[in-house]
Amino acid sequence: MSDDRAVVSEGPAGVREAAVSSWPLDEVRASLGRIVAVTRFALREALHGRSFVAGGLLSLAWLAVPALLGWAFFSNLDAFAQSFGAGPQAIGFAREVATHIVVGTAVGGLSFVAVLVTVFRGSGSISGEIQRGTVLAVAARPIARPELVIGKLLGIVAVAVALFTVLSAATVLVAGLLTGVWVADAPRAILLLDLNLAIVGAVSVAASVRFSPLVATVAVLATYFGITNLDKLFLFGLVTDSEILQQAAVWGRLVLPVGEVSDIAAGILGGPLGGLTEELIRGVSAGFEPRPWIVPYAVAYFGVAVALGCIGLVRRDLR
Amino acid sequence: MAPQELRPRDRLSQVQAPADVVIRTQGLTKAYGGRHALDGLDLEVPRGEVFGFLGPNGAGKTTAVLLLIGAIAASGGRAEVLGRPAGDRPTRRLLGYLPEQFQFPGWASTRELYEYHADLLGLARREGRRRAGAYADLVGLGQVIDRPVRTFSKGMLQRLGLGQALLGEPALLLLDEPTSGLDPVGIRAVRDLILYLRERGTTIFLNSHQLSEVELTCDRVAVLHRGRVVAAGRVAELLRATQEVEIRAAGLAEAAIARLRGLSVRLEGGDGRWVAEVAGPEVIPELAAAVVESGARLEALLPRRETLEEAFLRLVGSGQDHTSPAART
Repeated sequence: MSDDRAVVSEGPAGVREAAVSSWPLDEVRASLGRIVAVTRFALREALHGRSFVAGGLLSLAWLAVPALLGWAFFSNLDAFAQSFGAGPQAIGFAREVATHIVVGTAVGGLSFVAVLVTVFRGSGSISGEIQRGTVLAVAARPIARPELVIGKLLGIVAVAVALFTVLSAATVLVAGLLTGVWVADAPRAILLLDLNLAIVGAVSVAASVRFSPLVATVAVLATYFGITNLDKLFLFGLVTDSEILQQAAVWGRLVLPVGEVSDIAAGILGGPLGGLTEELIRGVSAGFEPRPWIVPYAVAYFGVAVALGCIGLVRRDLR
Repeated sequence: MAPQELRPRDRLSQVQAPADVVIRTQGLTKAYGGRHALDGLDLEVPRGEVFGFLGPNGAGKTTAVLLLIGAIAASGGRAEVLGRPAGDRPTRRLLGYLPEQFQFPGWASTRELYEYHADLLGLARREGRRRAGAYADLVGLGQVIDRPVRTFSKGMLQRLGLGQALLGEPALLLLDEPTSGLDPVGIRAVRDLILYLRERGTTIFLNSHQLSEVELTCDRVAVLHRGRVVAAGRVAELLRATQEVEIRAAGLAEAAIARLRGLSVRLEGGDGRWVAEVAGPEVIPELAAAVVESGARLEALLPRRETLEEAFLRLVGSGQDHTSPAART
């Protein structure tokens, strides 16, 4: 924080004066300073929280699943190849598919754990502080409420993103070193799943502005699981030949675009496997594919969720 | 603690309190559903005054403070703090606020809390660090500045909150039950601090149940009951004279005591200290004469006034409103 920020001084009549720079740039800088302060504090709070520790342990535990999968496949690969008389090209393809399965499983699970951490922390971020009364001393400071919302959100999402990104990148790296197969597009998939975390974080924080931690957590998790399972509704619509159900599933995904963004990430991580399954289920999933504009929509959705959270806090009593 | 200097190269717009009034409310009202937590509060607190805000639980004291800091929105009326609408963001730089039952995440230390609030105040990092240390020392937490707050006693938490409220070197300090949870030594320390701040020109708005503390520290008080001010003024103005006289005398014989009893409506006491309820002030010289003529040594003869506690109970204890336009500040 620079010295250019607003300062307090003794006025001529002995009355202390709040000196506020009228340069818009200085005001923006001061505002950023307050957001950073809240973010840093929220970060430290998250690192001390049980949900972060639990999330970290759960993530590490989850990584054992793809590790076991990978070990089981690669330790038996030569024996399988010999018994089926597979050539080097087939073996190479099998290695590539197996690596993508291992990485996809790992990253998918890590993403799920990070979503849970984000929802649990985000849903209690504002209403929890209001319930405990810890928000009052902060609210008496010269901080705008949107700055508080944005700072909290950044702190919560940063922790989840860091947890997810670091472990995912490490998984991709270790898998590449051990198998010699590099999932080249993994960073793009990880970025998309980071976007999902940001969306879930923004929705959770916005929900926490209006609802108690419990209600917000249940509401966000129910929406998340509902939206990410709309493919079942779509399939049911196909089976029952119900156009209404199919359309409800397709457009219902826009309520929380994380499902569709996850599908893009899954397609990337699936690699050659994605192509195979696409062939297998062609005709079944037609009409339910991720839409080309879903990522810009998701980014805009994030912005709207943050704005709603800010407006919600501005309009409510902190008691 | 010297305030920072303004930087001359900055173009500054300044928020300055009028010289006389720091808090002004007119018809300030807050309703939750159909219930009025605060009902038409009219208040003026001049600069440099220690103002006591009294009332039983649920009278609306905390609601009033939350309205003044902008934490909640008024249902009606208006409030100005330091010449600006209550809740005005730049003006909050000049406020210090200690919430009732100050709460803070248990994992953090005093240093982390104070540096966080220094950042929110917009202080430069170095100044924030300096003040964190200085105010931790001031409230007696310097030795435990890096200890997690969860290990603190209730009294230490209250002192932590008090230091937080002072961190911005405020022009207006709003204290909601500052002595809650403190032992007598802590209560005395808070009293001394309030008096010290008053000498420095800080205006203090004090919500308190500790009537004896209010009596000792406040220039003026307002008594709130069911969201309305039922009495306001200097403490002495609120206290009614009683029909009681305290007599301190040594060597008072039984006959003299009997004579005093004859002059009084009621006489209680012993061991050199009696309280006589009399019919009127004209009896007081006769009481003095009775003591002196008996050969006893008259040490003091004091007309008794109500204590603030008695006045408080008179005003709110009946559960009836005593509001009148004249009662409003």
